[in-house]
Amino acid sequence: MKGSNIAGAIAGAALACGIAAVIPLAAKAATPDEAAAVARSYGYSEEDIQRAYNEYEQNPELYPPEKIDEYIDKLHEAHQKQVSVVPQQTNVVIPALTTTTAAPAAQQGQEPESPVTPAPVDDDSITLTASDGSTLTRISREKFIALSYEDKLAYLSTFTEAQQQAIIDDLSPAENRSLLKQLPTDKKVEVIDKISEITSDMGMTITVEELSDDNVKIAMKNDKGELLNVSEAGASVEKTGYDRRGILTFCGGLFITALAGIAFVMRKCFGKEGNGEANE
Amino acid sequence: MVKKETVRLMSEKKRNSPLLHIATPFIVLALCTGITAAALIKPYDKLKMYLNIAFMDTLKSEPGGDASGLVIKDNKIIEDYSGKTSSTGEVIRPKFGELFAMLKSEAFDVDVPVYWGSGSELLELGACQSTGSAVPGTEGNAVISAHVDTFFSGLDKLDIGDKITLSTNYGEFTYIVKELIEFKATNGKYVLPTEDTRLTLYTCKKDILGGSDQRFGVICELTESSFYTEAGGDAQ
Repeated sequence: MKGSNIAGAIAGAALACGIAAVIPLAAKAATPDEAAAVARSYGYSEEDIQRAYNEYEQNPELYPPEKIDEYIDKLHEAHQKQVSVVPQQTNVVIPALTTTTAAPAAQQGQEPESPVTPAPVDDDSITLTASDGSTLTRISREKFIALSYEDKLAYLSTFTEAQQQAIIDDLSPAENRSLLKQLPTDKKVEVIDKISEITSDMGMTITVEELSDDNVKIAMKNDKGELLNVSEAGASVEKTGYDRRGILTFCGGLFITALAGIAFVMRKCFGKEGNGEANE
Repeated sequence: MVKKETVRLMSEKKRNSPLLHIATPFIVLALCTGITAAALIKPYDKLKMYLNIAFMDTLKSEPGGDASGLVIKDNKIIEDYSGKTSSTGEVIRPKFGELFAMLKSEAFDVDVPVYWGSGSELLELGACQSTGSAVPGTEGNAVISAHVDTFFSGLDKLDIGDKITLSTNYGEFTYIVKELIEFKATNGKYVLPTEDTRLTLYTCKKDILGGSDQRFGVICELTESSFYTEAGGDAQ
């Protein structure tokens, strides 16, 4: 549920503000359904989309179409924090993608082969066309999801910037979700900051209640400080049990101490007497 | 003979040792305290639950909330509506921390308040519905959870075909248990929105240490919707 963590927390607040779809260069009256579609494409969970719908249905007057257009821009900006074009690099080695083969013995006078950029070799590779007209082949979605956050960025850096943008635009919801999951804490803060800009002019504030690499919990409050909603990454499933370890450890400790004391008393009282009688 | 007498006297001296007279009561106290504390865990949970329900108004936070901003709103839920009903209608969407429904089932002897929202504070007061789930009366998955040691202690008694009722101030909704489920806390597939209309109840699997990672519950199918259509049905 780590992915849902950041996705849940951010999407819950962002979508609760009626963030809608499409990238408008000009004003466009977007609808909540369009907003939900964009949110899904960015990897936000269905639970958070539902949360946003509930918020919208409760206060539709706060989310007119024009406002949703503005919020969509913020959502796209927040997505930029999640993944964006990085400087191209050469000689990048990604162990998770490199096929291991025995290196040919270097012949005399020849230099050994240098590390090469891993090339996708599986049948699920995806072919895309970048904005500059160049064609590229990227790894399958499953392989991309399986990479760590750093390896994802490293993989992107093996392409030109135009090609990277083509890949980013083509990312599936599952791939975006995996990126959200893996965001380091500082990146999460940037995304949350961007989302907070959405609610500030509505008199609402977003506060981070808990933030770590494993969990994000944010709360949305109105101008009176009253709690409006809570979104906790990874906590879609409530903690519905009490942790008894403390009290049971205490009870167990008392019990063991008492038993040890009884054993000590018994030995003091009867231990040598028994030996004494046996020797008679 | 003399040796036997000596041994008897020595052991009698040990039994009368001041150390034993002082230590023994403390040992007995420790033993009794440990056993009593362990035995009172479950009754304490039950007592706390009944106190919470009995003194619901007194123990609630006042408007304005505490430092977390949580404002708990206690509503009187209609339970004896006798006017006209309709199978379709409008829902009254609750706010975070608001008591908006009563969950009843004779199958596992439950009649508990349901709050909109989540968190440890609300789970102490009753069952909680996730704000990321569908409001009862709308399409989708309504997800309600509660503590296994208190409000949902009898959830494991539910079986397929048992009836569950959700009473709100805008209508009453009846569900039938269709599936028994078990899942890990890290697997949220049963709490996600669905296209069909259902009610999902879950709680922790009972674990002597508490705080189990396993959850169990039921998925229920909506069989009857009765929206209140007459004025006077709103008791807020």
